[in-house]
Amino acid sequence: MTPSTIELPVTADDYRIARYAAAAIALTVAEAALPSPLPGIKPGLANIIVLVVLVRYGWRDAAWVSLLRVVAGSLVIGQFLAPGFFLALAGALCSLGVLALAQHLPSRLFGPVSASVLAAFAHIGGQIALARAWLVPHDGVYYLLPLFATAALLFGTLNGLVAARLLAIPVVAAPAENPAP
Amino acid sequence: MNQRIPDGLREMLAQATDAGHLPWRALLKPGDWLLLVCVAALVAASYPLLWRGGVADRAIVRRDGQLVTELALNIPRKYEVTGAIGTTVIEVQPGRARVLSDPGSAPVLRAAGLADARQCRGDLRAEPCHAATRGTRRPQHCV
Repeated sequence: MTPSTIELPVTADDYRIARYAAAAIALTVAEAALPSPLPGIKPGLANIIVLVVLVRYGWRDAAWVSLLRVVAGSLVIGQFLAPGFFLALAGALCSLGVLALAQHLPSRLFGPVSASVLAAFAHIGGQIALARAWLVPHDGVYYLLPLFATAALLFGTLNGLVAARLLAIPVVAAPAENPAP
Repeated sequence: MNQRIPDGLREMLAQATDAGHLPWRALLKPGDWLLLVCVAALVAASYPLLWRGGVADRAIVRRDGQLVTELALNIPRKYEVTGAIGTTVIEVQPGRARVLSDPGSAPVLRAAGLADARQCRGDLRAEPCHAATRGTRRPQHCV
């Protein structure tokens, strides 16, 4: 009896998303090694990749990269299905929802910095909402909100500037997607 | 390898290094500036708004120095305390409390912080009941 073979067709989009997701995961892992003054405050460097993908390829690809980054990144650093994973997932889902709206802002007036800042605030909003509902069922969690908001403003601006700088560079034409087997 | 990963992290970092001549201010559009100013104002406002450590959150009711009850100041209600000469009614509204009626004169309702939740001094000749609001740091109200 010949065992059946299932071949999953891999498109050029899949390779592109995988590359960007790998870059985002690498940044997530590198970021996990950085000391944080307060749990939950991180630069969110992987969001730079998500912003670049959003502007270049659209929201769908950005969502893939963001969610793959959350799942695979948590697997790599050993936090899969831990509270930190769900906080990251809630933040990513909220920021993706805001980015879906922010991408319709007039590009003449608003650039990646606006999208990054809005996404950063949505990210902390989702995380604090989940923490309040699940992990810290007390209003005391809101006392941390000013600190998180400050971090979101700072890192959202910096990440947006980096993404804007990357996007200002003309894209190098990619060779034909024909990877070796 | 860079030829095969045109959009990978390695190339993005290389591009970012090469793009050092681009001024940062040129990356911000008018809407970005406006958004940043508005968001910064909201963040600055969030500190005094959410870090109100001194606002009273409950009223402490004592009778003859003995604790009768603690009333949360976020729930409107009326509370009656019976003393030696009659009943004192304390009314609680969001964020404040007062003596609505009492059998004697000069009711005392003095604010005190958590670290200063001492027994209120005052004219207690005819009023057996007095109350103090207790916050987390410092007194706010004195009715």
